[in-house]
Amino acid sequence: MMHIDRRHFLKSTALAAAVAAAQQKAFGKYENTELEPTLANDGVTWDKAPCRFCGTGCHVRVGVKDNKVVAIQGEQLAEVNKGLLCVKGYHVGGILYGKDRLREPMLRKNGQLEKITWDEAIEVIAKRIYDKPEQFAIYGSGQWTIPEGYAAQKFIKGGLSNNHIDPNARLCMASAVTGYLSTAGVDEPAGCYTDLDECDVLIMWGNNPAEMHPVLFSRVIDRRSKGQQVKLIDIGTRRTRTTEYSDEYLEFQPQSDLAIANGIAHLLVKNGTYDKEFVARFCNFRKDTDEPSLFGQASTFEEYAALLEEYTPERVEEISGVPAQKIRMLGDLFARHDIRITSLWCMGVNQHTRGTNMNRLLHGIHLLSGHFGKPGDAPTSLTGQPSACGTAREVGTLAHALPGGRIVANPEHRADCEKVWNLPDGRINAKPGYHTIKMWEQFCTATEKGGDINTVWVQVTNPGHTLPNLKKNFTGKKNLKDKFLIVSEVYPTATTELADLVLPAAMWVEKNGVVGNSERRTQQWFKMVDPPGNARDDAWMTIAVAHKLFEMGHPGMKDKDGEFIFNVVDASGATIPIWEWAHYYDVNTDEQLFEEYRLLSFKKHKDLAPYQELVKACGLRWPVVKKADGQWHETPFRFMEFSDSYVEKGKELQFYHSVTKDDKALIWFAPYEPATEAPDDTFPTWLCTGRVLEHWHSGTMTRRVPQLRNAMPHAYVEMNPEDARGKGLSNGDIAVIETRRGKIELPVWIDGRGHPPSGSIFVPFFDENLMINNLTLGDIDPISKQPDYKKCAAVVYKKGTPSPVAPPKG
Amino acid sequence: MSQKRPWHTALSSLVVSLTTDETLAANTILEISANECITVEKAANNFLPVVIEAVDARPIHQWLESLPGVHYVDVVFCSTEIPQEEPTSPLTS
Repeated sequence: MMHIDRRHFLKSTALAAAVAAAQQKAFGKYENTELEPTLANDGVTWDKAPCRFCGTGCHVRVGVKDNKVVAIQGEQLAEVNKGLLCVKGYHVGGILYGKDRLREPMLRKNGQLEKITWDEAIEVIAKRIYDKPEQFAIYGSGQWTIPEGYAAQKFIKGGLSNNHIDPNARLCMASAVTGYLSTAGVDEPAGCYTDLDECDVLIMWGNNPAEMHPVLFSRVIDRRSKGQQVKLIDIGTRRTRTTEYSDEYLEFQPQSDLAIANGIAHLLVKNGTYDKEFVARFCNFRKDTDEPSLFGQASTFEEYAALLEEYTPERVEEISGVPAQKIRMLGDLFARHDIRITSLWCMGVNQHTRGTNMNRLLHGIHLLSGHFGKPGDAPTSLTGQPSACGTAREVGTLAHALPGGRIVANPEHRADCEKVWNLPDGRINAKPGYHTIKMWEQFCTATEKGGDINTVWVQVTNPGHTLPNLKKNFTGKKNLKDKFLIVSEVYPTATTELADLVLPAAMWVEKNGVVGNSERRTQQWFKMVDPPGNARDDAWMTIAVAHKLFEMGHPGMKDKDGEFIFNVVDASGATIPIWEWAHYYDVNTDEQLFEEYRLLSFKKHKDLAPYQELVKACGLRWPVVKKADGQWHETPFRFMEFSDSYVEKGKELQFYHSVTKDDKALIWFAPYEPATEAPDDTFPTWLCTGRVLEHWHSGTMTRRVPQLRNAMPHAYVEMNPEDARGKGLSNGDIAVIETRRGKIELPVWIDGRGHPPSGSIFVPFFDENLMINNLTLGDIDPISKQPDYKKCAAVVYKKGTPSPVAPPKG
Repeated sequence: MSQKRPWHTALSSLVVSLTTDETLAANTILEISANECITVEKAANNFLPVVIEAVDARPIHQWLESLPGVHYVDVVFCSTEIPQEEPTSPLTS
């Protein structure tokens, strides 16, 4: 039982936080402007940190007492969330304290994981790598902090001359990256969350922000509470909580969003309502090559118009099921120049076998209509992880990438990195490594059959749960004796179940960190509590293994002067042995790594602020530029003269990394193409998977928080009431879901939170006991290599009744 | 599937976004204030700060969301001093 005085104090704090948040919402200001850590009179120390979960980048104030997180409140000074948090955010402190935290390194011996020392663990890893460095891979995530991802990147690409590193961000936003790159020549959004405050129309494409980005959605709903008019349009494949708040709901057949976007463009061209001046000044036209490619080939307006000819509202209705008059309604909205339109999307568009094309089309309708370049006029892809942008995209922990928007295939880019890393010329390999699906396919294929990845080190993610078609992409490892899986984790997971070596990791405020959110905002925090047992920082693990290899004589661990590639010196020039845990925090290693990485951020104008500037802020949006006033200025709106220092005077809007080198963006034509697997007589139902409000991704953290676990204890299948009735299924009955990859039993939920139309079902993926990814398809976009989790063909039947699927012949 | 189990939340505070209909908003504040589990502070325009303590917070949160004068409910604070009840695993050392 909490002590009464302390309880009284916490209640006062809770009430003050609510009052401040209400004032922030009502008046847009908050009187306290101090971000310094503060010690309250009950001994609780409060300090800032970004929330551990999604890509929104909400800031929290973390209350710590006696080396334990005791309270969380929304950070009033954070522009992102203005004191608010979602249900996950306000329980974020609880994720540290699950009883089954991993505390010691463990090596599998005779089938059992047995405790070993860190020294032994580091040596095991180093030997695996030393023997076959080219067969080693690192699989990380957008949950890596920027310094962690940077260390892993430098270690494998700069140290081992091996590019087999990829983040799980490949599974969630790779198509957003290729969409931005092929449109503007450089990744990440031009706009920011202010677009949500300024738009007159918010269109959500296959997106459910009411549950997945609730704090951002709340910003929009607040505007209505203040009497402002904002029209919400939900374009989706099932009704969700977002639909309840929307003025329009347009339900489309899975995959046909491509046709809807083309239908809008068709109307703008046909009616002559596109923004001719904007297009003439700022846009070129593009179409794909015969083999899909990132930059395609040049096209013309005339060709673009001809290719759009077939996408009449009536034809789009045939393909998508959305009534023609609703397509016209969208066309009319985009034709208006007296309103501002923001499009939001996330996994619905990105986890798509034509995700790159769908991203291109969304950018295209905004450019064609001139709904771009002003606050509130923005095409914006949201991210699902705290540093998908910061670490996966900016640090470039993708198999083809290098830091700061560089790629391994470009000699100049490799030379830039070799210079900053003080490496001999030619150290970095020019050949891209394996993307996520290929990496795991190669790991799960026997060596004698060409499976040329034999060791994978997983950090900060759970591929045994989140990869699609798990039997093919993960569990196939089980019987391959020469394959070795290393997993750095905080809790036991589906991935540690198959691990040969488990490394206990520190998490969130148990270590220093820097992350980057969906609006180019880089956010920093300091370690506040100690990790449990012998858990340690992921970046330390990487550096310790690198140093062990250095001791073993691996030439890649030396720079061109013979020094260790992660050498850190003190003010006197003496080396600080950060590879020894006892000395890791003798210096702020995060700051050291970040400042080195920062040198690589300028080429593509992704200028990061100095670490010490980030310490003083609730994040800063790059490019962060020091101006004549001596102050560091962030850039809320990129490419726009009124906000972006890199836009030349008088240009108004300048895509300064344009693919066509003329400061113009590209408007792409991309056709509607059917899904790679669609319902048929045997598997007549669309299966869509996704997230829920209470749990974050695979639930390894949120399922350890009793409040969240109890609120949403297990997975389920959402069914249409008529479909369920036709199969004799009622709420709570157990249904069997079967696809060509496998089957699973799930309780039925009818008229619950989501409402799928007839012929479709939805299953959340958070539950490690009911893993829907045993069934998902995993076909990938040909350009981004991102898998589709949103559609495949399934059959549903009541448990206890025969499967309607005939057994395979033979 | 969502189950109505206690949340055991020791303490949480929320901001309730009220309708712009002044009469309905005033009635809604009265209705919320009458709930003995909720401490209500003065509204800032139509944003009402409240604290819920020592009860199952989830049904109260849901009840607030269901009121006709309420547009939205945001959470701003939560004590993390809560009973622990986690799954155990053979990997735990």
